Amino acid sequence: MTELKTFNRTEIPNWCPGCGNFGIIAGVKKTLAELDFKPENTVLVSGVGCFAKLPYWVKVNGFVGLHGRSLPVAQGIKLANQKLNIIAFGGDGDGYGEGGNHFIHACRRNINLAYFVHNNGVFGLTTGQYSPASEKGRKSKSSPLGSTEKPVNSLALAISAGATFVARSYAGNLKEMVEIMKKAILHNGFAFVDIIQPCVTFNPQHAFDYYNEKVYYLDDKHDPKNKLQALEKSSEWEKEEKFACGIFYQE
Amino acid sequence: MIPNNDLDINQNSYVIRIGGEAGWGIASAADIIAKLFMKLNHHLFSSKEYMSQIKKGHNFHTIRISKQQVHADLNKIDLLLALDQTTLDTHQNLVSDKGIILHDDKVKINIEQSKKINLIQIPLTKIEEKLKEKNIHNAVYLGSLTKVLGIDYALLRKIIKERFVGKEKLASKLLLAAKEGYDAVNKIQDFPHQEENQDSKIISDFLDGNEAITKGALKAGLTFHVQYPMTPVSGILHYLAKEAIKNKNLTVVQPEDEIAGINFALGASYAGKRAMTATAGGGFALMVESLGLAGVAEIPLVLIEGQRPGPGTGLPTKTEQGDLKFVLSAGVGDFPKIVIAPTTIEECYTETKRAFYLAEKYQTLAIILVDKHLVESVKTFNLADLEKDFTFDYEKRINIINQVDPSKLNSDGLFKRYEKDETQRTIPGTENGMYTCAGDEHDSVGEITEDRDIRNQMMQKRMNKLNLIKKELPVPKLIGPEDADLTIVSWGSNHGAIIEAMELLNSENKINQKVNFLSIKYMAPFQENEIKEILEKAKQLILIENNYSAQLACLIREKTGINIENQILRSDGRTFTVDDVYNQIKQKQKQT
Repeated sequence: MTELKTFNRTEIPNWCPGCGNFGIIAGVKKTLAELDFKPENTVLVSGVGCFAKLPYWVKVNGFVGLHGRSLPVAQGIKLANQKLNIIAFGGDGDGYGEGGNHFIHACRRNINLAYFVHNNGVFGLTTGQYSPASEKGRKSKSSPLGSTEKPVNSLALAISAGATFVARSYAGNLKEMVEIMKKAILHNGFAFVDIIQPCVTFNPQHAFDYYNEKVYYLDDKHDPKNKLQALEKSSEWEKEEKFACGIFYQE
Repeated sequence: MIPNNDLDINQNSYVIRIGGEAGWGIASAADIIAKLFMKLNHHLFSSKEYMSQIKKGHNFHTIRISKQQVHADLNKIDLLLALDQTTLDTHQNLVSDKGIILHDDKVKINIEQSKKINLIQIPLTKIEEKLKEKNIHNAVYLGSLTKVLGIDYALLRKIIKERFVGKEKLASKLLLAAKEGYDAVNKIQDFPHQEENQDSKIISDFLDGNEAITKGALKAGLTFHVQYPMTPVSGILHYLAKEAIKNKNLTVVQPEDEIAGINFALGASYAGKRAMTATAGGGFALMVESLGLAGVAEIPLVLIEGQRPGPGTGLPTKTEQGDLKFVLSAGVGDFPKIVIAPTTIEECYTETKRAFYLAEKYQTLAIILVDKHLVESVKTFNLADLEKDFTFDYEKRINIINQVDPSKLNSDGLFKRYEKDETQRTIPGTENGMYTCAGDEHDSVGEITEDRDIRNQMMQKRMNKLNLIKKELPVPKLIGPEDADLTIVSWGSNHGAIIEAMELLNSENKINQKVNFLSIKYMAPFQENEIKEILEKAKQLILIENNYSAQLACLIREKTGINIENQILRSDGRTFTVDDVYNQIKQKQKQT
């Protein structure tokens, strides 16, 4: 196993104290170490947002590009060199808003890479506007009377767009998150994981306490080979306030 | 715009135009006509004008045949193949005295009798009934053309068979129709057969600008091409998609949009591929944010921008040079951007090679700015003759670290790829060669920073590339007599028409009416000192551009302070012919 400290950089992340991104960066490093990946053969690709600084703070190859564009860059890198292990990162604004079109087409193109979306339901780096993943009625600086838009159902979208690995994970549970990350990376094809990432500054009503209560894990009763069941499961949170984590769908 | 033809341009040129509806096979017929005359060892220039629709409408191709190399259209037709009424009505005025019009029994003849024109009717209805086939007129007309011009039918048969290899059923259907067309008309003349040069084949290649660009890119070691289809550069995507079937080193991707396209290319280039993307003005607009990413992250990329008339969707299948200012200023903030505008199909080849060399050496963005008339017109030349214009060993990857001293790599794993004066880069997979390829301002290993000193150093390092690149560019030179009375200034595809018009004007040997020509190719970095010197020496200046606002004139004024007031502009979507330039220069000379 590659030592965990191999992936450490000297710089310290400048995320807010208590940010969900700390959990995710720890999970990424642990995953890379447990998979025994060589740092030089690994590329982390991101766009713009709080999440997008992650590659700056992991000692591997990094590509921090433009808002919403991590997927086309990551696919270009993978097509250029199949031997590289690629993880692309997105945010809910970056990946579901700005880069929504790339998301759909990356799903159906099914190039072998993992795509982790840090979903905090808010625009963090621009100080808290509602995002494509915010709940309807959310009040923010840009929606003082409450947002009138439904949140995107990214899992159902990915499944119907042809993704071959679709999962949800939670930044507040490192052990479970690392298991999902490993499976996503080892999956041969496009593997999408929506990661619930509490934003303690701009979305405090949906911080760790909230999700610790609402998150549960899929068990044997869920068959990830069953597309219809996966679609049904991925819409559960639209009816009830609970969030299933685990592999929803895998081909 | 049909000027009075008070000149007999280029006695050596014979012009054939074929027109009809979209979907009638006008393009393949034009291609077969071109091949016919290539086999007879003639040089060609061929252009096309078509509408943005797949069926009906009015499309036409013009094939200019000559003993010498030719570069532009003329305002005359020697042989018109009018496959429909619109073609006959629209183009008959351009048919020269003693010219020929081939038409069929389905059109109404309405021609002024002042000109001596050979009207030849093809009994198309009868042929269609006999063969029990529709949609064969292109082949019938080809047969008739072959007969009228006294060309051996066997030659046409050979070309059709070659062109439709693998589609033998279609070929035999077309050949039956062609033979009917051949037999239905009489010979008018014997088209001269040009003898082959003893030493070498005079013509080896017949390419449009798009294909010349792809050949240049492949010669320069292209390994990754990504493109969303868009007129006028879709040809590049088509040629390369076909090439990739046999060329295992080449990856071709059609992305979901142009933003994805340029970012695929940047990812691939970062990972070590020689990457290119191509688009027209509208797609380029979508790519603009990513241009700066190539600049700040120092990623080599060659981008082809094929201009067509805007604004918005504009005239999507016509030609214009309206994107110069947009391309030069496109992007957020200042970063080093190379903009080269080839002036001929030959230069589409050589300048694309140069763009790859500069992009890789200086690790930045190089844009080849072309226009519809340049990339979709076809001409004959010898590709091998062009090699000497720009030679470089593309096997050698410039500034890629795995060819350089490994002592530069630190054992801590991180490579100072962005250090001051550092021009080398690693590709992912290099042990101890890691860095972050950063769209944010960054330090030497690509770590995000807002430090003032580092920012200043990085800006200087990046922008200084333009000074270094400028030293590598060929020096601009006047074409024609040094001591001319009038200097024409222009760029892009106007070049061909201007050269020929200039030669005609100078051959008339009129006192005080000598003309020369400054053709500007390198838009960024701009060679202001050399260009200023040439312009200051000129007795009188005149600018020719295919856009509304004289964008090159704006650039020249910005860079040199020289204002060229005398301008010939058009923005009707059409190209300058040799006659247009000749007549308009004559008119200006009369005025002064």
